[in-house]
Amino acid sequence: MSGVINEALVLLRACLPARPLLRALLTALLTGLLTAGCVSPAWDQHDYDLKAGATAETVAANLEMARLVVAHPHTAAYDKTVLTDVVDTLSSVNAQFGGIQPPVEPAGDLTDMTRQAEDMVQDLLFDQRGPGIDDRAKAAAGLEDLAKRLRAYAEAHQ
Amino acid sequence: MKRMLAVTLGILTAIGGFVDIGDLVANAVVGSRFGMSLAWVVIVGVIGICVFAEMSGRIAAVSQRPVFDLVRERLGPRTGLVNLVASFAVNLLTLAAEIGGAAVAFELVTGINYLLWVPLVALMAWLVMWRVKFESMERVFGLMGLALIVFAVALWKLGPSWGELAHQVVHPPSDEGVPTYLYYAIALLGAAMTPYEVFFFSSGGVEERWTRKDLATSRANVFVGFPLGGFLSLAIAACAATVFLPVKAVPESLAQVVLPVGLGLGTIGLIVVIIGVFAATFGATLETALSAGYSLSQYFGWQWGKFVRPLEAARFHATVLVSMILATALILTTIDPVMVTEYSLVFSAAALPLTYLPVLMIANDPDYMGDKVNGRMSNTLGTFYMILLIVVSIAAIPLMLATKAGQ
Repeated sequence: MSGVINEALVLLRACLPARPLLRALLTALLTGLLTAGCVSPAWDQHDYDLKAGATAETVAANLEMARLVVAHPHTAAYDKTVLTDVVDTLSSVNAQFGGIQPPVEPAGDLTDMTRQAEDMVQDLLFDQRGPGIDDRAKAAAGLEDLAKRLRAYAEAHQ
Repeated sequence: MKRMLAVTLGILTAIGGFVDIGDLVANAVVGSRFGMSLAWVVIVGVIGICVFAEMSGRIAAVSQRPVFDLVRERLGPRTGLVNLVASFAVNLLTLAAEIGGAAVAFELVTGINYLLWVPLVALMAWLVMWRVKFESMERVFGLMGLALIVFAVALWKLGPSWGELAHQVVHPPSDEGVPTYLYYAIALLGAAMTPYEVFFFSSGGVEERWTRKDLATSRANVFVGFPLGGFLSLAIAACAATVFLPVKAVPESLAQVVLPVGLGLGTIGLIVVIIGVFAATFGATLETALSAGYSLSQYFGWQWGKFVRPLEAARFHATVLVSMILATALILTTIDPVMVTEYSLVFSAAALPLTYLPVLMIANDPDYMGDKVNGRMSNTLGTFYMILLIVVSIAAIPLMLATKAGQ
């Protein structure tokens, strides 16, 4: 990945203006933008824990939203829209947290739980689009249970 | 009798037209995170919009000229241009959010992704602006917007602990920081006092050919219609505080904002609230698109308005069309309409003094207003709000950066 970025920077430098100061500023800006797209560093373990806690909180909140829809069905179009929104958010949260470089060791438990959350809601969305959700009470209980575990994780990492 | 009917209809239109995507999103998010502890901001915002909308209506009725027409004349072209640029940019952002909101309403009914509905909504809005009379357009969508009263009915059906809601009014949640609380207070104020409301209200007064005789109607719309619209905002926040706050869920899309109504009233309630959301966002699409045309045309002195034939106001209609195209393109980039709304509210708040200072100045100028110049009460309230809005505009952007937009 870094090789590709370096090659891209060499190409971009050739296109940059000849004035050294302006060139240096633009190079720094482009480098920052390119690397920011790949990773979001955590400064230390405490910072990483805070990000992990916030991620757990966000995923739990979205699971609760999915639970409310699964437990109380409305129209198929409406339920599908809400579940799609939740899947999109969970997918985005997983991608963002996955891009954070852990300073010591990654939060394996959390990553497992957030991926499980995305898979669970994704499966419910497939069912909603197809034959319909089979056992809504059981599905809602599963979502609630995972949300509780995520909340406990978030509280431990505040 | 006919006059009473006109006043009642105007009030109902004002209630239905008060809520737009900004109010829907801001109140639901605030209710889910802070309970009713920011209800006071809605009240401050409603009083503020009443004070300045009354002045704008009075200016339009007395001078038969809208606010922006007088801004350039009274403040000069340079200051007027700063005002125009800030208002126009915020307005365009709001327009994009409203188009996205109306498209989401279609998605909630059909299940088809809102992006596919965006061009259709834009085309429908343009056709309505092109073909439908101003008064009919305002009344139809304002009255349809009354469907949002279903939030209040749902709240009653959800059976919240009223004591708990009252307790929340003076007890913000302890797990939210002060900067985040203040950030959302500013967003909520921006939602209640969105600049386009004043441009539209005063230009609408000229479109409907208000005179001094219509001052009572204008005041009834403002002083009865807007506070009842504010009541709807509070009902939205209370629904979110009842359903989302206990489970710590935060609505991140319009579909989630209306969920409490579905839980309280079932599928029928959900259908009614979707109609209300469509009316509120589509009506606001028309208002913001026309406001873009009004502000630019009035600044440059072009012929404007729906009361003249399109051929005679070609530049006004071209501005409306170009604004619609730009806003549609922005929302078609797949940018989240709720995110656009949240940013537009904060930028609105930052631009508020630029919008409302000229209104206060012109309403105080006897050359324009004659004997209908501001009284002591209007001036005291107007000055208080100007100080508040200046503080808000200074704090808005730093708070947005410090809290990572309320995260």
